[in-house]
Amino acid sequence: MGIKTVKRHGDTLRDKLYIPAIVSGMKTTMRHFVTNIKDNSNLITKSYPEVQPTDITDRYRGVHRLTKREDDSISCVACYMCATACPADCMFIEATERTDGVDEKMPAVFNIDLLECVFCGYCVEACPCDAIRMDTGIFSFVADQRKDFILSKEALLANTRSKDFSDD
Amino acid sequence: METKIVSKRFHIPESYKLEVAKKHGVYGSLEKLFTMTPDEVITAVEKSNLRGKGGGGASCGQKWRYMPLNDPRPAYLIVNADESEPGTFKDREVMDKDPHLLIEGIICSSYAMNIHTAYIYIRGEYKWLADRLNTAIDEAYEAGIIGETLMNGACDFKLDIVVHRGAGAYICGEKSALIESLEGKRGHPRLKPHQKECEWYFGDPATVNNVETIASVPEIVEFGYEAYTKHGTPKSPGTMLFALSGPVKNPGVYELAFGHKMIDVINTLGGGMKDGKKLKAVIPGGVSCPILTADEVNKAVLDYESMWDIGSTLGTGGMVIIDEDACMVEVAKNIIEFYHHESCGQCTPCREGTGWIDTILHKVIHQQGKLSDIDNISDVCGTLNGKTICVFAPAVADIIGSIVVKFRDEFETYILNNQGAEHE
Amino acid sequence: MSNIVNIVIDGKEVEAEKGAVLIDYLFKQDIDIPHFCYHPALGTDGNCRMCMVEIEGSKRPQISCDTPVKEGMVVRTQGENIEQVRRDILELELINHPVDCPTCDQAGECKLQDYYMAGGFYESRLEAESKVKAKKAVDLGKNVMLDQERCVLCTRCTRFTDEITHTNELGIFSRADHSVISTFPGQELESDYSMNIVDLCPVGALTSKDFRFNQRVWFLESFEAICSGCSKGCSIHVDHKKEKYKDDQIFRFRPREDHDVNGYFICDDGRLSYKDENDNRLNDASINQETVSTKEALTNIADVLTANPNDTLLLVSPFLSNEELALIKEYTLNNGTTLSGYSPQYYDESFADDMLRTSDRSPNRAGMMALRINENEKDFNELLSQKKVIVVIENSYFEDKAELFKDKKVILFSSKDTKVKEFANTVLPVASFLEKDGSYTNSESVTQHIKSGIRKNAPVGTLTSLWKAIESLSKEKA
Repeated sequence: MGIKTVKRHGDTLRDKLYIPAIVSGMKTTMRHFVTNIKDNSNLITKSYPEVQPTDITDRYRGVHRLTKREDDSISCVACYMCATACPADCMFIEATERTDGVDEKMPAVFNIDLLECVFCGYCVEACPCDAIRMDTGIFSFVADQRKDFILSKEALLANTRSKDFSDD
Repeated sequence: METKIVSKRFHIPESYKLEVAKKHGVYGSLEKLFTMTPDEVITAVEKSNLRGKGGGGASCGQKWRYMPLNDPRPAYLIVNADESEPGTFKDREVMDKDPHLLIEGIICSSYAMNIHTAYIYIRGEYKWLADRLNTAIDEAYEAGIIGETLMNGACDFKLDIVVHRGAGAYICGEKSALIESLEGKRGHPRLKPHQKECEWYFGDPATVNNVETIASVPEIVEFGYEAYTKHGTPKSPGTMLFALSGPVKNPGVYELAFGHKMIDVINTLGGGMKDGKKLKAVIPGGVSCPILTADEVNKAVLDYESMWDIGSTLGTGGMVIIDEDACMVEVAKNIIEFYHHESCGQCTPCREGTGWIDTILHKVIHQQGKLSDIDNISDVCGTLNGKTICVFAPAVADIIGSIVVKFRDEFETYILNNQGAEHE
Repeated sequence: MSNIVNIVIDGKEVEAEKGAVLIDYLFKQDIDIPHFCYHPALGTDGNCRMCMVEIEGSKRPQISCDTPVKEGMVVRTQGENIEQVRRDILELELINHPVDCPTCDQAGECKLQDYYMAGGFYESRLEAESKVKAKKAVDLGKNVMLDQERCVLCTRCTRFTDEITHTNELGIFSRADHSVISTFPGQELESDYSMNIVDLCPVGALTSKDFRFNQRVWFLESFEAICSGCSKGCSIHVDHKKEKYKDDQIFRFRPREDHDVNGYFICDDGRLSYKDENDNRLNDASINQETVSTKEALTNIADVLTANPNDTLLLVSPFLSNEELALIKEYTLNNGTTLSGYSPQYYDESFADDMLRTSDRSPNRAGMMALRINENEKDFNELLSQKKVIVVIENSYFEDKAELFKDKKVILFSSKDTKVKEFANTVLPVASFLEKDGSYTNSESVTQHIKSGIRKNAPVGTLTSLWKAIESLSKEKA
């Protein structure tokens, strides 16, 4: 295999002086500075939290929710496919017998540790029952204790599809 | 046209009674029987080439040879009277009109195989025939014909005959399922043995024969095999009870020598088609045989070999006639409903396949059929054929498969029109 | 040997025993022929029709479970034709199957799933609404749950109750695709071996009520061990799992095929004895009822043992492994303490039967006898009255006989939290039966080895390690 020698950059006097490069950089910075000072309506940066984002799309993976059947009961049958698919190992499920005749099995415990979750969406993909979704549009969750970041079954069921999203 | 051997006393009023039947020659073969050795009897049956009349058509004499000789275990004769094949109703004529002929046949066969206990396994629904048989057997015991000795001591040979009623399962007409049922188990066919051998009843040797086969034996014993082979064709000698059903003028059971043309039988004995309708198809030997179209019926000859040659089988000789008014989709649905109901459920292909075909045809009849359903039925028939323990599933594949293939146009029209192609 | 014949399997010439069942031979060759109804313990039934192979010279594919090996036989287990046949039959198995894998405990070890993944993959040609419905979640008694819809009617379970336990509780009811397995009316499963039908069931029709919904099987880890429920020492698989933020836990025992010991099965009591392993554990060392560190307890024991060797009786038990017994026996021989293995409390005549269960409900009495450890009652009682220091090692003899400890110094080594603790001067927890390695000799003199796979968060020391610590502490003092 032959070797091709490439000429090294930055060997010229102009390059070694650095000043021209700094000046051309500053020129770009100043142009933006002036434009933004004159008219700040085009600014990308938002004054969050006073200004909330409006560009969250239907495909945005927010905090999870557990879906419900037509009779308003939980869809999840505790098959553990989500926990199996989860790369962060952040889903903690305990199954129990379901006695209302709708199905055989349901989760007694269904916890998701949001601090461990990497929001990859694999759980949604893995679910054979469409029982877990990440379409709440919730991107912000705050708490002052670690345990409060663990969402229980009840909390997950209480979450709903974001109103900003189109109907499914 | 008829040749009456088994049916010779059918026309006599009250021929089921011992005194009437005796006047007309029943038990006449026994005198000669007692002069013969058992081996001579089997040889005579072998030479007569008497074939099993239950549908298989295997040589009866060969079957008897499979019984082990000089075996210390008791042996059993089991008469298969579980006649449940749709379109077949010949055995019941024998049991109804001439039960003593059957007893005579049992005596001859038991004598030949040194059997002292014979069972008649009768279809559960044939309650009145079981009663008739029991009355006849009681008469025979009372008259000393069977029991501790035969014919009041004419032969020192103990023989007991027991009638056992089935519980109404078609599959118990399959010999190994019949034995399972007789043993008190669920009627599931057994795996076929790897070499030719007799059947086993509670581990003891047994042989299973159809009613008509057994009823044919006295003739061979009394008049010799030569007299029997005079009738019929060289390969299918003798006679068979053919049953005609469907829209013919004279449906019924007729005893014929093998070798008659099917269309002649339908037109002469059957009296031709009712109301001048056109013949559309015939299922030749009980519904388990591939269907014959009108063209094929014109060519068909009633013996085993000729029927195989045209791609069907003689089966039990129960011909189901179908006229031009019948819709073949409904014929198929009717037949598959029967099989779906009667599959014993042992082997997967039959258990699930019969139900599947039934579901597809149900859909077709309820106007939800698709053209692909026809291929699906053929596909399932393929899976049913030759992949199960007994011949139930291949029979389903034969009849349903043949209807779908031979009347495919009609299925297609039916599905496309969303209603019966030849519906009224 | 003349019994060996040459046959060709998938183009490879091999030697096989004449007359052997072909499917058995294929298993031995590591050819996994799909099958439901065949099981080596139950023999051929031939109903599932899955194990079909092509045999040159026969018109149709043949079921390998009912094909004897013959000289010159040419067998094909692969190829388009035979795979199509299998796929067709599998399709039929599945048309009335509810495909409720998410709620089914068998998922992950289900033959239907395996075969579908191996060669199924077809578009469904049957609508779900036309599937035949049957009963789900039927409690058959004896810890077995039945789901009639998932059943493939292989009849392994009915054949097990007919031919193995001879209890005949199960039968097939109805016909065709309405056929279902059930107990006879008014009857429940009653055999002590009933739960074996859960293992026998190739699909999720029969599941264990005890294991029901507890864990998905693909999370479980497994190691080979023996059951300590009686002196038969049945070979088992121990299925356990250390879940995140939890401790290692045993979820179930399964029988392990072992023709020297138990064959294919284990009894229900043995199977459920995994609960004893998890329950009622002794965790803390104590001296005179006060919790101390292991180190302190060990020093205390070493002190007592070195002070009065001639006045000390060590009572071991048939629950200890051969290695542990040998270690303690050697110790007693070296320093003059006395050893007994007296343990009549483990005998229970009512437990024995004519299948697997024996009357001695301890796993290693034969090993104890082989080491000539004295079990004599008279000798034991004599020693008990003489000796002032009693060291009880994993032996429950004193459970309801604490009055015998009067005026004695008692040292207790135990994996279980027992009442004896209250009467003991020094208490030291030890690793339980399945938490340690060791070998055990069963009543038929078969020695089996356990290599434990359990990884507790805070493992308790094994008797061997603790005893060695005591020995070295004693030596320091001397």
